[in-house]
Amino acid sequence: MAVTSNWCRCTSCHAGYGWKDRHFDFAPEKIDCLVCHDTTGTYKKFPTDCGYPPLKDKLFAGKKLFKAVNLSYVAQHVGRTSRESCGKCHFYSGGGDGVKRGDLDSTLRAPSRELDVHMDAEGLNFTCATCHTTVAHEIDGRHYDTPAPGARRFALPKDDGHRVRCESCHGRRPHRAEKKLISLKHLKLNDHTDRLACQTCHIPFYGRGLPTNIYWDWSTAGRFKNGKPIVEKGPLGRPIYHTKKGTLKWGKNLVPEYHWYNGTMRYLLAGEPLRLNAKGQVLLIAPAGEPDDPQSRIFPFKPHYGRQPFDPVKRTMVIPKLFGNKGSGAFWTEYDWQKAVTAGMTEAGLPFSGKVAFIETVHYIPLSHMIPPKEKALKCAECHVRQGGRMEKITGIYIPGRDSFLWVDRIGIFICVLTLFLVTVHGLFRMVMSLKRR
Amino acid sequence: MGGWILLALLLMVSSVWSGQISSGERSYFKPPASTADHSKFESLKKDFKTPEEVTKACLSCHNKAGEQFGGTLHYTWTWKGKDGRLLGKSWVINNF
Amino acid sequence: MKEKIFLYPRFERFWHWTQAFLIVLLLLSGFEIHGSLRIWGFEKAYYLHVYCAAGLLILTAFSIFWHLTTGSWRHYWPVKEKIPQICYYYAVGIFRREAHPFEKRPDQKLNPLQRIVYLFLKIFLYPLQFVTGGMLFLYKWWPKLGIKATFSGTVYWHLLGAYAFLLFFILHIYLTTTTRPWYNHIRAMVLGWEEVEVR
Repeated sequence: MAVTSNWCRCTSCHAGYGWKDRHFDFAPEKIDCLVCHDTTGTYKKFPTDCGYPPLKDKLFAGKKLFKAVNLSYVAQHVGRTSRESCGKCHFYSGGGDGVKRGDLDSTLRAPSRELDVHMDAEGLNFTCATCHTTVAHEIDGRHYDTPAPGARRFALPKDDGHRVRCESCHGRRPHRAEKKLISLKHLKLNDHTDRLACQTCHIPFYGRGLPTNIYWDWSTAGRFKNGKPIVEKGPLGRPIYHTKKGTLKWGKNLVPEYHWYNGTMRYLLAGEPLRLNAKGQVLLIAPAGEPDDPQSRIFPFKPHYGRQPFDPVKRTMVIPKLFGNKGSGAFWTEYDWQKAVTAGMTEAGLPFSGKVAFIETVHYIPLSHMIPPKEKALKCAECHVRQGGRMEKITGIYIPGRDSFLWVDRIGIFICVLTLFLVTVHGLFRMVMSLKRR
Repeated sequence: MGGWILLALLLMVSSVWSGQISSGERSYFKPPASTADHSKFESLKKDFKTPEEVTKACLSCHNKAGEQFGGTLHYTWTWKGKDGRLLGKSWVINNF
Repeated sequence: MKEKIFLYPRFERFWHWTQAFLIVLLLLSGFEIHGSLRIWGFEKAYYLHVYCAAGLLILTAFSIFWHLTTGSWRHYWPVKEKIPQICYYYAVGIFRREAHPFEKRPDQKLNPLQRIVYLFLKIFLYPLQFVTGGMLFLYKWWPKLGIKATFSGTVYWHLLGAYAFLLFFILHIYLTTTTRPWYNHIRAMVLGWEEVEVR
């Protein structure tokens, strides 16, 4: 879905105040300093107020109380960012705790070593900004089609404070033996860094904190029971049907999908011609990268599958208006996709044929967080295996144990077995002849 | 052959040495103590009525922060793509 | 009439059996890395393969020294005589209890066919496996060493070499039994003394 036409709901996570339509005035005083710099944990933005915090006690969705924020108290207790402050938005992306990312959720507030070896509340106790180094409010990370800053090596003074990559601290040959001078194991592990991202072995599973959403079918949204909205919870404690959202599937401790990745993602925007994968799913957000690109690495992803509205005539993705008042066409008040898409596309200024159908989509999410201790990293044979390995679908490289030269093996085995057979016959014949002689 | 083995051994040893960086002292990542106690600033000892007033008070001292932050993704939700397309949270779509 | 002759000095016997042991382990662990076998698991097979290869490399270095300094390399110098007779012997004569056309002597321990096969092993197969194996082990350093090759191409040649070794292994073991009594050659390689017919 999209921010456009759903402003005040989505911009409740904007570090600013009052972004309620495309014409937001990006004036300096509209910046929300407190959402990042609050150290009291009392500053929360109201979920539907375009980024404003509640100034008096307020109920969200008639249930959840948001207490009035004491601005003076918060202002007098500002400080550095923390897992708590970043997490206020980033743990909840996708509309709830752990929904979107699979590697970020509220369990990272005070994680165990097992969950995140760096953020371990009783150990290294990293904050987000320990790695997402920030210079003059510019926070390091991947920015859409631009990879995270820095090179794949130790961060040096010349890197001007950028230290966001694993290699920034661990170097490009990161494995080393504690005591031995030379360790075959560590030498071989280091050899892998030319083709594998650190994340590939060191994030063996995702969704390790809370369940994460893996499938979202919007087409079933809008059903009611006796005129009342339905929220049906599944075994993981998350809704498997929700009138506003549709049918949802959740997962925990999931195996990532692996792809070549150069550190950038490719985006399909509403109104652009569809890009489909081999299964006929629309690639909304997909990794870019090629095996023969020296900057690309094999990288773990959470695939998020969806079924969502598109324009079957123009064959483009559409933006439905979900959030809004009655009469605005918003789906969550009128439950009519036709109206919702018309309203959304009008606001986005994009052409729409007037027809709505649903199409399967996929959105890849790169995994970089929740790194368990090194003992939990993948072992050799999880990839170096003929079939069913983690790298089974990776193309463009020869993986020992997975790959072979079929005809060399066939001819080699044939010749050896034939020879074995012939020498056996030869030997038996010798035995027969010598018995005869007796 | 012999020279080749020697070269391999040298490479192994040098690679081990180049990896010798002492494991991070845990205290290294503790943020340094703050140089200011914000509860002591007169400009913050006010009964703020709107959050914008707080921002103005912040910017009265941190007079470059507005310009700095105003250009970042966290504020603009817009990223000018290399191919000229507008990306960023307020332009892209997903399936959530 | 039979006579005992001393064929294999202590180093040669040590060299032979250590080499045999290492090659068996290299074949097993190599084919496990290749994905054809399952014995120790990939990781252990990899370590075993590298350790055995390093062991074989050192052993080979010593044996080259030995062959050069003692002059034993002469045993591998190829000769043309009697090759058809030897082939005839293994195809027909052996079943008729005919005598082996080649006479073993301390100054010519290897028959012409052995000379060709062992020489091929020494000047082609060993270097092939050491070079391709070493390259695979050090593939991260190719740019620094100025090597231009593909990983899969190197694996291809290493694999061909492995099958050649396996083939040699099968034939070699069988041929050691083609004597009377069948363990005569093997005993000689253990003790150094071999019983030969004196003609």
